[in-house]
Amino acid sequence: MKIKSIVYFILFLLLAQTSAYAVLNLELTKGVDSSVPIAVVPFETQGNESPTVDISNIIASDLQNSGQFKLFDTEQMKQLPSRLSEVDFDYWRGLKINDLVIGDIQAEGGGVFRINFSLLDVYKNQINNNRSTSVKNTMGIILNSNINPVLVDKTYITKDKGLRKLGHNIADVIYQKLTGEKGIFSTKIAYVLVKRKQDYSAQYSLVVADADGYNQHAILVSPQPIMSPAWSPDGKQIAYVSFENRRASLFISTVATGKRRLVTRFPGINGAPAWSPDGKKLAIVLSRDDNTKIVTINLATGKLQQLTNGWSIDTEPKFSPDGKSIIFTSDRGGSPQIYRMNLANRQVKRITFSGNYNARASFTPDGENIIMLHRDNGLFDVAIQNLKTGVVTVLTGAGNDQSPSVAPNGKMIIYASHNEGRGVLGLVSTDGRVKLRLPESEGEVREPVWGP
Amino acid sequence: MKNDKKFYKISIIFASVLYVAFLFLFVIGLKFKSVPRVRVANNSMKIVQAVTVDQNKVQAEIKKIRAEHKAKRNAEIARQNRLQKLAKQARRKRRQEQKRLASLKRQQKKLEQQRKIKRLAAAKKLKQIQKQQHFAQQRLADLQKQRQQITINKKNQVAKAAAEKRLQGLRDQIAAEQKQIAAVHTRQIQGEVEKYKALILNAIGQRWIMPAKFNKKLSAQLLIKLAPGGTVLNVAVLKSSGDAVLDRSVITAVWKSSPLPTPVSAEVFNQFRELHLTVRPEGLLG
Repeated sequence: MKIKSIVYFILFLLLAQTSAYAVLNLELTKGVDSSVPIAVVPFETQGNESPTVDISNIIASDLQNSGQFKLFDTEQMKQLPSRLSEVDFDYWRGLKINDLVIGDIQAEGGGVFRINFSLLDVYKNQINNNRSTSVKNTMGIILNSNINPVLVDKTYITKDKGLRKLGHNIADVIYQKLTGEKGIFSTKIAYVLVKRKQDYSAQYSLVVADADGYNQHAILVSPQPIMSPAWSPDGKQIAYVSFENRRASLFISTVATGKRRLVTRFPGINGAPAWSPDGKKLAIVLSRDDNTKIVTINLATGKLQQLTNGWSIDTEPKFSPDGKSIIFTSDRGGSPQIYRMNLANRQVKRITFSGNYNARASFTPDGENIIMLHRDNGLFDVAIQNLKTGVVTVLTGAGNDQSPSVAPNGKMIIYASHNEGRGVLGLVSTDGRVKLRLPESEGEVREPVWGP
Repeated sequence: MKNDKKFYKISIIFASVLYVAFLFLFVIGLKFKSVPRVRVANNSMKIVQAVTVDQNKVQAEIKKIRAEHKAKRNAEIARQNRLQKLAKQARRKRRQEQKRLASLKRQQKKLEQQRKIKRLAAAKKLKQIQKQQHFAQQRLADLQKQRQQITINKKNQVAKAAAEKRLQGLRDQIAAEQKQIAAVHTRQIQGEVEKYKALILNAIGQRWIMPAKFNKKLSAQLLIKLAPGGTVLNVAVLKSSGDAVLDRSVITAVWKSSPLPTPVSAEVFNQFRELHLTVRPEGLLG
């Protein structure tokens, strides 16, 4: 009995001890909305040849352009590690950097390069802390904090001309790892570029470029206007309207080959093509009977089906991601507004009520929002409307923005804007957090569309 | 044993009867011898007196005496015959007695045998009964043992319960005392604790860059170990939210918040050595 009571007493003491150090419960529910600070250390090049593009710079600007990250200025870096063993984690922690990208480029000869890069979690490696890396909690479970800081480590071999593409690929990998969502840096954009010649005559080009605006090439050049480019769902073709021969015609061009086919050339308007999600149909705008109406055309059979009727102008159709409905712009209510048609029963509902002008609407990839051109107080801005709540959020504020098109991950919107009287490409995140301009090209940029 | 006793009794009775019979014969014998001796003495005295008597008278006397002798002899013979007859009778009686005894003995033997059989049967039965009794006793013993065990167990349980109750009472008492002591501190400390909890949450929240898209239903649990002064010693994931990006965003925020604001008082700080941080993303800091 004596021993028993002593044991109990010791037990009691132990219990009392642990209760004195009981864990404190805290609940974190709110954080801040800001870009994640990261650093991309310029990749060290080794060997006789030098690449013609700065791949680490491509990665850095891609990530910067996404709006999710704040890139640490390379000029301010006092350390430029290119491999894990050279990384002084305390230095980067001191800079409040969350994640670090390092890498090197090895010239293999013959214009071939071997690129290695690593994405590191600056806070995962606690070796430099001079502390025990494994700490026991009250339960005696060893919680190891010395976890491998390497989030991604990859090696690629490519020719010089593939470096830009590789840079976008690496940016996609990093973006996916850090945000959990698909990157869009390897996607393409298409737009119409208008150049004025010295004799003031215009030259129109249908241009395809990387999502960052670089690597442009024209797939069609015409002295007559080109309008309304639209990517096929597989990204291999672009449908557009061309006024060659001074008549509106609807064409589909294959991006890789430049080959094209005529789709419609009816008298009057042949415009605003939009692909169905399965790529089998186009919704287009025709004015065969003097009324501007929305029609679908089966691309295999050429069969037409008129969707809207009446005296109003119905234009700019876009399919919903599930292909079950279309939205379009119509003046049937007096001012241009967005309407939605259920394709199964042809029922039409007005969906925009804010502002006296809403046009150029398209769905976000999740089908939950539409982005559109919204006019309020005479200013045209890009806006996003939640279809459930009806809440409209204006994303840009320049007052003369046009032609919004959303990225395939739904994060960014590209649009035509103006800078000092010139048409340029603008980017805005769908949450409105980030806004930036793509590098200007010679000429006026119109109607950008983000490819899949 | 009882039979033996009976046997002795019978023997004694038989011996006594024999003894009485002999004694009787002996007494009769004595009478037969003593009587003539007395008579002879009387006769000689008479003879002395008769000397003076005439021949005739003597003749007559002789005749008389002869007749008396004859009569006496006849009487003696008759008595002898009677005695013989008696003896014969006695012998017959004895033989009869012996026969009776023998038959008695036989009967007794028979009885004895019957008794023996009975006894054996009884013994057998007894043995059986004893056996049964033994079994019964054993069972009883077992039952008793069981009952004893049960009572012992019960007793033990009761004792145990009592001990536990006592112990619990002791514990309660100590807990109550501690509570009382704590209550005094708590009022001062609790305010301090709450204040630093808020400060810590704010410090981490300010550095927590929420992922652009997160599921509001998700939650994660982190264990944060702090050194005096608020330096973060370790951040461990106790329960992942399932979203690696969300988990990492908070872990990084905790590390970046080091040193966290913690109470200066060692006593209050002790409560901050280990923090359970539950993460439930709701929205942005206002």
